[in-house]
Amino acid sequence: MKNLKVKTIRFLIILTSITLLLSCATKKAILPTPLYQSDSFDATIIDNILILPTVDLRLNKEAKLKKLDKWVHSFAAMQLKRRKYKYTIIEDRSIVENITEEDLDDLNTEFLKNLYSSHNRWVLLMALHDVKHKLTFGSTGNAEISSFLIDMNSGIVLWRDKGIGEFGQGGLVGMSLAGASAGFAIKNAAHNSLVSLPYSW
Amino acid sequence: MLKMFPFRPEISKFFFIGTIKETKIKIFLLLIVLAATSCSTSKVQQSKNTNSVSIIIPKNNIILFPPLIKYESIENEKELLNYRFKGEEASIFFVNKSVEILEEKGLNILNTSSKLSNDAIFLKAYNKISNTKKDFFRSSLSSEIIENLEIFKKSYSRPYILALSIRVKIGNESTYNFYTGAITDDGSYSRLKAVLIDSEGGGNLWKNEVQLNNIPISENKDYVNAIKLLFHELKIGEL
Repeated sequence: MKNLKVKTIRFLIILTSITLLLSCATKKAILPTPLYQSDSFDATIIDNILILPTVDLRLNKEAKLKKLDKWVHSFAAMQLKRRKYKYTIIEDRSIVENITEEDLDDLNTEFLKNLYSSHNRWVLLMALHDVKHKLTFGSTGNAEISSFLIDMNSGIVLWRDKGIGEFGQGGLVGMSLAGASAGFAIKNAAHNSLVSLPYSW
Repeated sequence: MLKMFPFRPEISKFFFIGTIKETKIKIFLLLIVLAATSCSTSKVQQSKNTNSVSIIIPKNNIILFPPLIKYESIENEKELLNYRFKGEEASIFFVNKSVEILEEKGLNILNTSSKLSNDAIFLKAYNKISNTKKDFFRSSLSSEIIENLEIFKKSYSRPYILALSIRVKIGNESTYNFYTGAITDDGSYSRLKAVLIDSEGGGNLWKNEVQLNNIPISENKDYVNAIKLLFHELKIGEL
C-alpha cells in the first residue's frame, strides 16, 4: 500500500515536471508570426545588435517628441535583453534624418550600404510612422512603429514586423491624461513591434 | 435674445420629463456628444519638413505621371483592393484637381498622349520611368533611375517629371471600450505626395507631403483642401 502511494506521488511529480517543461517550450515557440523573416535568419550567430535612433516619419513634427528615442529604445533594450541578445544604443540622430517611408518599403543593398558604416554586422532600425492623440470624453492615442533587423554584411533584412499601439482612457482621468496619451501609445507600439523577434537561445 | 433662442417645449420635455434616473442619463449623453464635437481636430496636416531645394519651379516642359496609389492595412501592411474605398475615383480626382490648381498657377503640363502613340523611343523611356517612379520618393535616386532619366531626357527636350502618390492606411473600426469609456480611433489616414524631378541629373526641385486624417473621397471638402495645401507654397518661375 505504502509502495503504491510512493509510486503515485513519483508519477505525479514526473507528470507535473513534463507538463511544466512542455508549457515552457510552447511558450517560447508560439511567438506571433512577423511580417517577414528571412530563411537565412540564425539568431545564434548574432553577437551584438546596434540599435539606431528612431526614424521619425511623422508629417508634422511641430509637436516635438523629445523623449522618442528614450521611449522606443527602452522597450527595444528590454525585448533584446529578454531574448538574450547583446546590444549597443546609438544616439546620433543625423544617421536617420533623411530616411523616407519609401526607403523603408524596400531596404535594398544600395540603401543599406549608405545607412551606417560600422564594424557591427547587426542593426535594429525602428521607425515611427505616425502618432495621434485625441481628446474625446476621455483621451485616446494611436501610434504605428515598424522594426527591422538588418544584416549589414550581406545588406539584407533578416526580420521585420510592425506594432500598433493604442491607448484609451475614459472620463476625467482620461481627459487629464490627454498630453501623455501619445507617449503611452508609442511605448505600446514599440513593444508590439518587437514581440515576434525570435529568441537567441 | 429670446428670438434667437425661442422656448422649445419639446426639447425641455425630452430632457426633463421622466424619472430622475432617465434625466441623468440624457444629460450624460448630451455631455458626451458636446465633448466629442468640441474636441474635433483638423483633418488635414501639412508637412513642415519639406526638403525642397527650391520652391520656384519651371513653367514649361512638365510631364505629369499617373499617381502611385496604394491602400494598405495599417496593422499588417497588406495591400487592400482600392475599389472597396473608391480608390480609382479618388486617384482621378487627385490628378484632375492637381492639374486645375497647377494651371491656375500658370504651369504648362504637357499632353503626352499623341507623343506616346507616335514616338516609340519616347514611349519606351516613359514606361521605364513609370515603372520606377516610386523611387522618386526615396531619399536618394538609385543608379537605375538615373540611367532611365538620361534616356528620357534624350527622348524629349529636358522634361521635368511631376510624380504624385496617394498612400492610404486603413485602420480597424473605431470601438468603444466599456470599461474605460474611451473611444478608440480607427487611425485611418492618407498621405498625398508630390515631387518634381529634373531629368537632367535627377535633381529634386521641389517636393511636398500632406496628411489627411481620413480616407480620400472625391469632391470631399477635406480632400480638396489637402490637394490645395499640397501645392499651396509652390511658386512658378524661370530656372
